[in-house]
Amino acid sequence: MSLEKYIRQNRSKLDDKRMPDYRDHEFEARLKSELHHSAQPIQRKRLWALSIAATIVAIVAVGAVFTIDRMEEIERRDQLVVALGEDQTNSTRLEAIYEIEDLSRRQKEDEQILAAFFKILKDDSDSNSKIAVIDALMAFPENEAVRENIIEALATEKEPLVQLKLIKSVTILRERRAEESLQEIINDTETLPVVKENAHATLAMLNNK
Amino acid sequence: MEDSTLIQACKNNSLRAQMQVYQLHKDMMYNASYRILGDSEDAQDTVHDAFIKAFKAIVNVDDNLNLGAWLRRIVVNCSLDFLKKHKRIVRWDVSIDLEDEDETEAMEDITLKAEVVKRAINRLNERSRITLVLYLIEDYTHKEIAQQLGLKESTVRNQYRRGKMQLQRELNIIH
Repeated sequence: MSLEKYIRQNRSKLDDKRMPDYRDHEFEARLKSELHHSAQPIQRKRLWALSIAATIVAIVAVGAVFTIDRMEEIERRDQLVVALGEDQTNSTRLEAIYEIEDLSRRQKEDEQILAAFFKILKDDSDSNSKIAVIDALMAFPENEAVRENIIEALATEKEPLVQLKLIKSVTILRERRAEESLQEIINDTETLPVVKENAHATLAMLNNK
Repeated sequence: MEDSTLIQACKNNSLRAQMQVYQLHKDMMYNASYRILGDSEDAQDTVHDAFIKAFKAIVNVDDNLNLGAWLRRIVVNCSLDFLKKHKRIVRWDVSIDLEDEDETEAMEDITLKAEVVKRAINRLNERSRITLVLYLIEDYTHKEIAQQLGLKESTVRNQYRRGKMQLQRELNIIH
């Protein structure tokens, strides 16, 4: 047996180190501090969504003029587009994407935000941001630009988790224009087996449509 | 509890589920990070960073995801980010290219023990260790390693060949 084959077949036997117990307590404290306090992103996102909902209800109730509401939307939209920029940290971008995803359930898609999303899909190296963007884009299945950008991303993306997300998206969209890209993914010798399997399944589904 | 149930609970930000995922995968992730970083404290810190990153991103994954494989990918990426942040990759590109050679290794009939191989890998220099670990244990392609480390693919291929030869020497397979 070759050395390479031996290592590949016995990789689990190489795992013999254990995390010290005292690090467990440190981690639990950090987890509580970062994800379970009021300042944590998920709760903050919900609070923000609630505050927006409350604002909208209040405005409707008092019959406030449409222009005030619209100006606030545009101002917030601009803040979110900035938060999606390349110079922002991954976590800032992710929070902005989640917030837009929440807002998009109530509002029509915004061209500037879509443009920022498409840019992340094409240029950003962070897989988590891309996956979050794909989720947010899937709120607009009828939008032709959204469909085209998802198909384009499938043709160029090499990160397996993002590839899987894109394959799932073209499956939901029943997008036959993705067939060529799916075939290329299957033919690519560097594609992970799990990605190939998903591409095969989607291709078969599209062909039987 | 099944992975899909755990993932769903983590999406609901359940502390209990998050700690269960941590307990299930912490040692696997620690070993993966340690092999890349070669330092216990750094690897432990990186594992914690990776879990926090994972729990923040888990709302976006499919419930049927292979959780272990996903976490492993995250901790490897976090370990590589750690290397880049501490500028431990910067001098790789000055290496001289080896002649292009056949990638397939001769099927030498070797008898090895995991413990011996593990010690030999840990004795390799950092470049060789990282390249071999990513390629042979973490299943990264040369291209992916190059992308992750910001290096040329040819540099990574050459470094891998050097590393393999160094490991063979450590194991007395070649002299």
